[in-house]
Amino acid sequence: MPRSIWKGPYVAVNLLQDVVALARKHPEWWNKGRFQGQKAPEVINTYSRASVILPDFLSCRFGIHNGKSFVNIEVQEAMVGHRLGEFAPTKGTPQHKVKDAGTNKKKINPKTGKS
Amino acid sequence: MVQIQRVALFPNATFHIALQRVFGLGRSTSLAVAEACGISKDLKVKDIKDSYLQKVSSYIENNFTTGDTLKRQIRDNVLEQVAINTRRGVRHTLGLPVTGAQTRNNGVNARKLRPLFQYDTSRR
Repeated sequence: MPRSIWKGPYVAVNLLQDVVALARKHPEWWNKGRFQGQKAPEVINTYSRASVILPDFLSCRFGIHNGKSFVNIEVQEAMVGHRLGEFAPTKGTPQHKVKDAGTNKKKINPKTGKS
Repeated sequence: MVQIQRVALFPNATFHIALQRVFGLGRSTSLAVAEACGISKDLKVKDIKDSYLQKVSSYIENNFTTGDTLKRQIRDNVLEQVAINTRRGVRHTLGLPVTGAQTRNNGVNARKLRPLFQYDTSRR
């Protein structure tokens, strides 16, 4: 069952504080440059994969932790409403060993020791 | 041959069951449509008058998305997830189970259905 709507979306407090600090530090980018296509001045690294992406976060850049490193994401319009963790995969893709049929192994008879 | 939403209905079948051949109508919605248009549950398709069939067609058009429009909607939803590069979108492209099923065993259907982006198994 998803979170009740009357509670509002979940955003971690430290993430919100970081975003507000960024907005205060770069007010013209926050108010105007964002909507004109300028890139975010800083990347905000966060461990909170459960936070919902708010419409206020448009065109911010986040580094989302996946257990080992931070995955860089730039927020677009279609991403609003999803959680941060959906964009940072936590598992690597397995590379299975390929058996080569090319190498010919000479079969050695174990009793006589000859091929 | 009776045609509703470009789907031919079997003449000897019960109406609200035959109506389920339309993509987008299932057991409960088909019954609701029949009730709203005043068609009894035990009537066969061949016994229904044309005026009632007209009512059914217009009721379905006004209140439900069916057929190709529905398939396009589903396809667009899937493609949106793929475009944003969410985990769900990646699972769709790889042909693996999307809603958390294990891949150690099973997962056969997901791999089989990967090329059919419209997720319509009635035409394969």
